[in-house]
Amino acid sequence: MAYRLGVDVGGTFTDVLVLEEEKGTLTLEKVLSTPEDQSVGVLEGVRQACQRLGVEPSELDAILHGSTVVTNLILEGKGATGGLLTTQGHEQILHLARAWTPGPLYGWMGMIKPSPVVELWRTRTVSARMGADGQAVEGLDEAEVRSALDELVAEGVDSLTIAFLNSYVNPEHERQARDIAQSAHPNLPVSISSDLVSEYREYERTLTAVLNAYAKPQVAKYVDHLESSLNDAGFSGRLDIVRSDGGTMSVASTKERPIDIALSGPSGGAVGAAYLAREIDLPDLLTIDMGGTSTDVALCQGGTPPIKRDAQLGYYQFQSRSVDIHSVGAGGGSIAYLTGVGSLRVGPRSAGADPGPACYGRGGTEPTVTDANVVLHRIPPGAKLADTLEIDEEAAKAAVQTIADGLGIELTAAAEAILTIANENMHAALRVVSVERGYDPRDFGLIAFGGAGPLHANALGRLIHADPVVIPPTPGVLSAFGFLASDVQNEFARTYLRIVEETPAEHLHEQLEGLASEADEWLEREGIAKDIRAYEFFADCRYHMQDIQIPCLLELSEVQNGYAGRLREQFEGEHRRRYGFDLDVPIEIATIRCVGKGERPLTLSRDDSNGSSSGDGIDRHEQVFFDGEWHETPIYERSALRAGQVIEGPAVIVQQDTTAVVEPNYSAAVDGYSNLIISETGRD
Amino acid sequence: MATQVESAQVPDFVREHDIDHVTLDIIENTLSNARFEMDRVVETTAISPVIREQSDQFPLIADRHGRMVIGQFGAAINTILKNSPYEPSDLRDGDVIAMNDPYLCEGSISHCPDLLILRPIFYEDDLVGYSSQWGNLMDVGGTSAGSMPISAKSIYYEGIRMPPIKLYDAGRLNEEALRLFCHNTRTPKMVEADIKAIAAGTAAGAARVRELCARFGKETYLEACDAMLDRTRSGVIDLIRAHLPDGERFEFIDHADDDGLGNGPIKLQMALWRDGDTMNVDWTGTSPEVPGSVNFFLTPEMFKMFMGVFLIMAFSPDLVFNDGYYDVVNVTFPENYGAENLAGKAAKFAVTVNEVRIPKETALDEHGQMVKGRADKPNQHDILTGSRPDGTGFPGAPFPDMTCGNWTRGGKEGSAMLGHHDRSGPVDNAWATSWNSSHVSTGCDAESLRSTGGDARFYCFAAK
Repeated sequence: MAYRLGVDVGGTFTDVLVLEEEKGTLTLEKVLSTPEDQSVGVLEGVRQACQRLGVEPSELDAILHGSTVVTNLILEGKGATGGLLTTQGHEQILHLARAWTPGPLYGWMGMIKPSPVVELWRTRTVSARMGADGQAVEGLDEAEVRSALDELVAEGVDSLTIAFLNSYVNPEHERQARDIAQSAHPNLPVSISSDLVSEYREYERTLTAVLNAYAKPQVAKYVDHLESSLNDAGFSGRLDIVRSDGGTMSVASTKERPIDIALSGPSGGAVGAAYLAREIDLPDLLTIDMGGTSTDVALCQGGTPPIKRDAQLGYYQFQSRSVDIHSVGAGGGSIAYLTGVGSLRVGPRSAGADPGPACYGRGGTEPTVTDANVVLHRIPPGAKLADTLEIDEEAAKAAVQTIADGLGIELTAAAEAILTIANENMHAALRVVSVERGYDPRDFGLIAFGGAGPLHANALGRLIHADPVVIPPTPGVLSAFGFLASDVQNEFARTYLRIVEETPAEHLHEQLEGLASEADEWLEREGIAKDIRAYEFFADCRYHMQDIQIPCLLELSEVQNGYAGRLREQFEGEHRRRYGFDLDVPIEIATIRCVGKGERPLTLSRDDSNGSSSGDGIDRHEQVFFDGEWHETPIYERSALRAGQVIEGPAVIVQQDTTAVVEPNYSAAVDGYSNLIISETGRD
Repeated sequence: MATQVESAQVPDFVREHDIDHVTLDIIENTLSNARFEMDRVVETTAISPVIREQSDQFPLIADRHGRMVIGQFGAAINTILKNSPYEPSDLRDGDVIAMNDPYLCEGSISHCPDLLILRPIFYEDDLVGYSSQWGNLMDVGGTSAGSMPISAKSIYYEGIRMPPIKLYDAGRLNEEALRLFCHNTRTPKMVEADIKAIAAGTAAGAARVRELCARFGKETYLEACDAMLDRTRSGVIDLIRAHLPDGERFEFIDHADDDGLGNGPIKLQMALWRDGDTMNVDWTGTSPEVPGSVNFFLTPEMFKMFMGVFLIMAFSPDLVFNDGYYDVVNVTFPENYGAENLAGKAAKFAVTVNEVRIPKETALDEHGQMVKGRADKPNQHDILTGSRPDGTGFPGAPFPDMTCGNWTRGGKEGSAMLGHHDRSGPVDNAWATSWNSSHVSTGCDAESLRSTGGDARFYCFAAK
């Protein structure tokens, strides 16, 4: 029997999900996270999950781990003491950054630009110069490099970045300098920019390399320690770390390019949602992942998660392939308050996990979205949060009462108002990824997960006219599920900058093949068997002089005479859809890319029995508030629901780690994978 | 003689509002999201890096009377229409008015590269408001590339000016006019794309307003606009009362060196005081217009906009920024300011309201934040110099040492000379207010330096 294990480290819980590959069944285990050393929680989770399943860690084939180690150390500013070796005259590249400020007219007033990740006094330069054409203007002086490195090491630098001007065209100087560093200071970790981003944009390339170096020592320590602890426990399979783009890579690659796991956790949700989208034949889905402090939304089209080529973490916008997620400060813990003039606002301030919403009974007194759900019994009396926490309904009422008093309205009306405003904020986020990018949400379904997502899913689907609304069987652990469905992958890119019509197909074909062989070498090093390797090719195009780049998928076999017309058509169609117009301007291929994958198929078990009666799984009835009045509402137990069953709204469905709401005039069907599929009653 | 712009009567929207509180909050939230959507549409589609990277584009949504209910700049909608051949009753669904002349929109845009788009919004054939947005184009012709000539002596140096025209008439693009305008710029393709991008931004705002009308009803939407103006007005009154002590008069004077053409110094003088709920600003004493390109065409309405946006964003950023408070701010300009003069003037950036901050902004730290000066705590205006007023070193023995022994001493003995970055000194003499030579420290150890000049951020030593 083969087992695959996904483990996702969250703020409060570490989720473990084990797939029994032949049966396609899943086993869930949740343990408390251990923020001071994540690996403790991970090991404990693996141990308990194995116990629950009755297997030994030695029987696991693969562990796929989403880690927030890099995220946290960047956001908390706790990375390595970095040194930077760059081109003479470019010492201040990290200060120059971009001219971006948060909003015009007043944005500069409140903005405090953080100090660069590497201070100026730990920056040294070399007089070597690479021209924009890739020809060396001045060669690398080894003695100069050595003395600069000696100075940096004497300054206490424990991780080095080498980022030279134009190294994306010709990385030779960067590689020479790396070799010198490695021979002179064998224990000093080195990141060179051309290894991480071989594209133009000097600031972003340097910043990405610097952040990579910032994370390197701690990440190496973390993954080495985790791997050896797992091995001690008997595990001898493959340990992979989840990347920001939803793929995975080996421990060895992670230690080389830790910046690519900066958004490891959230990517899993979108990959998991995209997988389910394919399974249930709803390839176009809006995804909404609502947690305690924020909600992540994304748009999946054609059953694939949306990918972008940059990433943002705090102030830093760097170049790293990542799942295209839009985040908004609205979650279960978001606090409702009245402004000085009496406007009701919800979030972005959050009660977090501690003290948490008032209903947690841990001393929180400010009203949150979760409290409003408790007041209206959308989270029904007697339900437990995260399977263990008793709800303090009186505390929730007292908190929401402060809003009711401020507005001079009933308690229930105040609670509904809080939910309405929170839903509007998430609705706006969904518009950003759909309407604003030229998609009509009516062509999409909506899949909701995260601890709070299923409570709000029906309302959001109604607001944005997405149909149907899908609630997966394990909404609280969809990220871990996504890890199980992820492929080993990495991207190889090159700045191209050629006008389409002036570029012969042979040249483009040859360049793409070059990238494919780079990808192939990497997959070989990752230990991926040849028969599961796959490659995707992209030409990122734009109108000449534009700054955006629109990815266009290429079939290598179709890059032959006449490809230019097809590419123009593809680009212009996408440009029109996104922006509503096209221009009579030449099209330029800015970047060419190859994504190399080691595919890891996943098949879930499916229950095709049909025709359970709709009364199955009713645990009790409660009064639940919808549309201004209380309704006698059945409370279902999710684990008791059967495939084929249809639940008429209003209904509340409770399960281990979340609660789902079906509104009046909507009904939920249970499908063969135990998804709840919510649609307007009487609608096809 | 100064022209006093009398504060208007209490505006009509100050009253009880017939709207459900939660509906009002939803409309307010939605309009606020719509304003950011307008930003994103323009910033992703524009070609000009001034728009894309520096966000030099500003959106607004106004009510049917032309009052901004949410947004970012002064809505001189009625002035724009007055300067056009169109009455509001001539406007139709799909019309888009474009213009780039600062003098025809009360300075809503401050120079010709800013292209302003104004789109009336109709719901069920009734005018329910306007969306408007402007962005800084790459070039509009004139004597220098980028159309910001520092040698300009009149607005004609800046390039082509478009008076308010219908760029789209009931949805049909006036291609001839667009071609004429673009042909007069150095970057015609970019300008064409950017104008279309700005028009697309206003279309996004208009769509959201129509959705709100459909969702809540037109009357409710219009009532919400009034209520939002009223809310902001009372919020600003609270801010004025909280932050300006009644009766106390704050005055400020500073000078810009010159206008780049040898005329100067140019004096800026402003007084600020509160009178009940009203904030008064008087610019009397400020120098008249100068020939060079440092004039800033500022109307009372525009200055109210600046006062309000900074007040709100600094002290109460969750208050919606709109035109509601204009009657509680009085602005007085000297008569010779030239605000009414529609003849060719070089309307330019340099003397902007930002200059009010000059006495502190003489020194910025590594984050671009102001280094504290004399009026602040702690006072960090000292600069360790050891220099004479002209910036050269003291002659040395037998004269007293002013450099703590060439910066080697660390005890109570000796002293060092200090200057002041905020140019305020112990006495009003030129030397005492200089950067170089204001007073000496009482010793050379950390404690003495801290009490007489060591609690500072700068040093600047004489080279000779």
